[in-house]
This record gives sequence, structure tokens and C-alpha cells, in this order.
Amino acid sequence: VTTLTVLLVLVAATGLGHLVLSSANLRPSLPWGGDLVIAFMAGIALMTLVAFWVSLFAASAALAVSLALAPLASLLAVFLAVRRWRRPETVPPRLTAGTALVAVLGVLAVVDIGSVLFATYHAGPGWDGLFVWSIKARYFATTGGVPSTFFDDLSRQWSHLDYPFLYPLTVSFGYWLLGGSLLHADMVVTLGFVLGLIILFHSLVREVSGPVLAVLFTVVLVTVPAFWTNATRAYADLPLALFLLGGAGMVARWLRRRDLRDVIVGGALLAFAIWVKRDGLMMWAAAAAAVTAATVILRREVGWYPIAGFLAPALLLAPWWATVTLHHIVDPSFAPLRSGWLFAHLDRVPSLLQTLAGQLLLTSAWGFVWVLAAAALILRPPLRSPARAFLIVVVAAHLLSLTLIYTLSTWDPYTNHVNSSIDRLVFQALPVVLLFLSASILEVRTLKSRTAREPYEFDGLAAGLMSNRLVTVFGGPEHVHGNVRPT
Amino acid sequence: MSIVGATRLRLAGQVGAALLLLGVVIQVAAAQSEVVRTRLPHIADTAAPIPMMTSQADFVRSHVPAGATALYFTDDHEVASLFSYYLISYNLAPRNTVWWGVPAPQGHVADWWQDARGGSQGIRRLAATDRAAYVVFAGAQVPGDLHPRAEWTMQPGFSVAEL
Repeated sequence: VTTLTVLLVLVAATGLGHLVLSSANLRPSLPWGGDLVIAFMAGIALMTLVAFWVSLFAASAALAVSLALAPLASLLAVFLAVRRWRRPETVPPRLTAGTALVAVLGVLAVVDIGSVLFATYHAGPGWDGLFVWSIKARYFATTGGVPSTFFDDLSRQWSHLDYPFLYPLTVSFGYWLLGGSLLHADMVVTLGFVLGLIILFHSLVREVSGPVLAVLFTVVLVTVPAFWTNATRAYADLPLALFLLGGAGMVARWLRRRDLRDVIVGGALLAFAIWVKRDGLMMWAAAAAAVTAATVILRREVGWYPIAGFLAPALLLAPWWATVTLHHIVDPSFAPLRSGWLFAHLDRVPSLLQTLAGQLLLTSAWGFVWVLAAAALILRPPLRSPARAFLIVVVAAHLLSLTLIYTLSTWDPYTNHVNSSIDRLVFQALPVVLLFLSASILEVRTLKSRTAREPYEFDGLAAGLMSNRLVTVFGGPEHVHGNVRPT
Repeated sequence: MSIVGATRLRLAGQVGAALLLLGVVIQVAAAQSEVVRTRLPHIADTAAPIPMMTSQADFVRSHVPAGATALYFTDDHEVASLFSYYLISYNLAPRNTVWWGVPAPQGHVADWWQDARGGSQGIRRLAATDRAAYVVFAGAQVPGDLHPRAEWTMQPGFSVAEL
């Protein structure tokens, strides 16, 4: 019952997101379920935001209102989808050496994904899952929303009252429907995010680097030991990694396609990342700077709309930001951002950089992923690929922001703070750096209109990784749109 | 750029991509073996249940009315005591506000316990500051000179006192 109830909430959120994106003509048309994941992300963000907004006026009715909204939207979305559905053109698969390679990798991927999902489903939430996230879900499910008393109860300040609510409100929908805080609901929600992350990652890699690398990199993602660690506890870091991947991936797509819709969706997903965890702010800010710079360079072609399109969705978070500010909620683990403190603790920076480097080289957690990313930067510098340059810049911004974050730490000694959380902060950027790595091997640089059906032209290594035969087996060339130029 | 130069550049790019691909294949092999060796055999372990202190929370709930504030008192601020405080607070959210008192000075701003030194007087002083009418003694005895209005004991070392 718990599993079914929570899955229904997640499906309803997907329906809501699909309806909103379709109505606004913002569906990205990603291959292999990518659209569904983007719809889920948009839907769950909107459901939780609506619940918070309603809480400002009628806290006890907030969850009910939000939960009533989603199924109605889902029904409408299904109705519209059925009306618009057309049977796709299918090409019968042919068995070749290339398809055999993809099939072998595919079997490996399915086994690995099945194992990690099994582990997620049977895991417990973990201490932080319980004391930071589940406690909020329990609070909201009992009160029917986010009451102002939540911010006033400073006895529970240790649970971080200022953290955002996408994750706990999602869990609270399940608790509210189930009539109690059943911890298994946390894991089913996590399962949804894990599955979403795998599907969206495969979809984004496939669009840019073709089917072979898509399957290969999916195996890379799900076998990184840190992925297992984060997939088997109910923390917000994995959902944040999903939103950072979606946001950065869509902005990178905008740099390839110059389609305004991509930068709007990317801006929305990165803004929603802040609604998952405040750590998302760094990548959002770095992406905002990158979009601004690109818009200035391309302004004759694209106008100023990309900047507005990227920034506008962040306004949806204003009520939450204002609420936290008005309640004077502070996190005692961090000093306020003041120059006096920063200068007094600048001596931490070299040590923090050393710790960060040590973390990135920790093979028991990451294998060689970060070493490979560094190698990609040297062997295939993204000099002529704005999208790849963007991806590595936002990852670098995210990682280097750790030095600022921990410079503000009030823990004594602050190294305890670093050691207890640096692996999670690094994990948040893992899918994005893998997207950069796959594009460093093979990148379709110019993805133009959705309807283009131009023949592929590949040579050398690219021809082996992205042959027409392989593309055909994995769903036809409509998923990789025209005018393809390998790097 | 000359044709020769362009060709060399392209070749260098392909070699770089091939090297990266080789690295990725090695990564898959190494990580796959790590997962098979260290993760798969322990899938069941991740489901180890957290001791939720449900019975203690039920006991507190049966004596502390909804909306009342309680002070959770432990003898020390070791990790076990910290987590027991978190668990009681979790179980009583949002029904009761629960503060934590320890007979020890606070170290720095991110410590969550409050100073309750001074025996029963210190406990009463902190309870008054927190507006707590109830004190939950966990792993600690009720001081003989506290003289509460009422006292309920679930087991030795776990009692609720109404001040």
C-alpha cells in the first residue's frame, strides 16, 4: 500500500508537469523517457511549491489542495496525450556486431540498475534522512501543510528549519495519504528520484553522444560506489543531483540548439534545484553568469530573451526565501557572509582545496571518474564547444564553492564539518561531470530543429560509436536531430 | 591552417577520445568489480532498522499533554545521548516542543544541548527559561531534591517529571 500510494503521487506529479510543459510549449522532446523525467521534476516542484504557497494562507489545507490539483492535471494530461498520440515509425532491428555490443552493455546496465533499485527499495532512510528530512515530512503531514509554528519552534533548529521543502513535502504527501509517517515511503520517493536520474542521464547522453556511449555511461553512473551510497538513503543529495543534471543539461542543450525553450526549462530546473537543497544555488549562479555571457555574445541571434527566460523561474522561490528571512531563521553551523569572518578564516582555503583534491582522488568512492574528467579537459579541451565548456565550468563552480561554504563553518574543529559532508557535495555534481566526459569522447555539437531529418556523417571513432545501425536499433534517427557534426 | 595541420589536429582529437574511452572502460571494469565485491553482498544490511525509541516516546506522550513543552535531560552529551534526543524530538514532532539539557557548559554555537548544571536548581532554571513544565530524564536519575508535582517511571533511567 505504501509503495502504491507514493508511486501514485509521483505519477500524478508527472502528469501535472507534462500538462504544464505541454501547455507552455516547453516539452523538450528528449529521447527515451527524458521528457517524462523532466515532466516529473517540473510537476513535483510545482506541487510542493503550491503546497508551500497555500500554507502561507491556509496551512492545514495545503497538502490537500496540492494533492487534489495533481490528479486532475494528470487526467487532463492523459486525455491530451491520447488525443495527440501517433504510432511511431518503427524499423525492425538488425543483428550486427554493433547491436551485439549495445545488447551486452544493455544487459549489464539492466542488472546494475535492477540491483541498485532493489537496494534502494530495501534500505532505511539513514540518520540525516530521519533527522533533517523525514522529521519535516512528519511535521507537515500532521499539520496538513507548512504552518508558521514550524519556523517558530527553535527547539528543532538542529533539523535545519531553513532548508527548502521539495523533498520533505514530497514525502509528506505520502505520509498524509497513508495517515502516518511510514519510513518506507521515504525510500519509495528516493526510488523515484534514482530511477529518474538514471533515465534522464541516459537520455541526455544518448542525444549528444549516441546509443553506445549512452548505455556505457549509464553503467558508469550506476557502478560508481558513491552512487550506491547516495541511492540507499533518503537524503536530498540525489534528488539535487537530478535537478542539477537536468538544469545544466538543458542549458548546455540551449548552447547547441539556441532554442529558447531549452534555456527556460534549464533555468527552471536549476531554480528548483535550490528548492531541493540550498547547495543548488552555486550551480544556478554559475549558469546564470554563463547564460548572460552567451546571450551578450549571441544577442543579434537570440536577443535578450534567454536571460529573462533563465532568471524568471527563480521568482517562484521568492515566497519561501522571504518567509525564511522574515522568521530570522539562521543556521548556527555557518557564520553570516561577512568580510571580517572570511578574512579571519582565509587560512582554511589551502587546506580545503587539499581535502577536495583528496576526495576527488578517492577511488573507493569515485573510481577514476574525476581523474578521467581532468584528463578530458587536457586531451579534449572544450575550446570549440560552448556546451562542454559550460558543463565543466558549472561543475568547477560547484566544487570550488565548497571552499567558501566551509570557510563559513562555525564547527570546532571545522574539519569535522568538512569530513561529514564533502562526499555528498561532490556527489551532487557527479552526473553533470559524467555528461561532460561523454561529450568529450563524442559530441553532436549542433542539434537543430526537431523536424530535421538529415543524414549522419561520421568518421573514425565516431562512426564506430554512432553508426546508423546502432541508432536504428535504439529507436530511430528522430531522436538525434539532423545536421550532426562529430568532434 | 594547412590541410596537414588540420589533419593532425583531428587525429590528435581522435586519439584523445580513444584514450578517454579506454579510461572509461577501465573505470567500468574496476567499479563493477567493486560493486560486486563490496555492495551486492551487503544489500540486506542497508535495511538494518533504526532503533526508533517508539515505546519511550509513547510513554512520554501518555504523560505530557499535546502542546506542552518538555525538557529532555541526559547526564552527558555523547553521540548516543544526542541521537536519543533527536529521536524523542522526532517522535514528538509537531505535538510537543522538546529542548535538551545537559549538566555541561555549551562549547560553541552549533551545539544543541543547553547548560543544566547545578543539580535540581539548574534543571528548574533551564526548564523555566524554556517554559517547560515537564522534564524527561533519560539515562539519568531524577534528583532527590527536585520535588516534582508528579513523577512517572517507565524503567530505571527513564522517567517523566511534572514540575
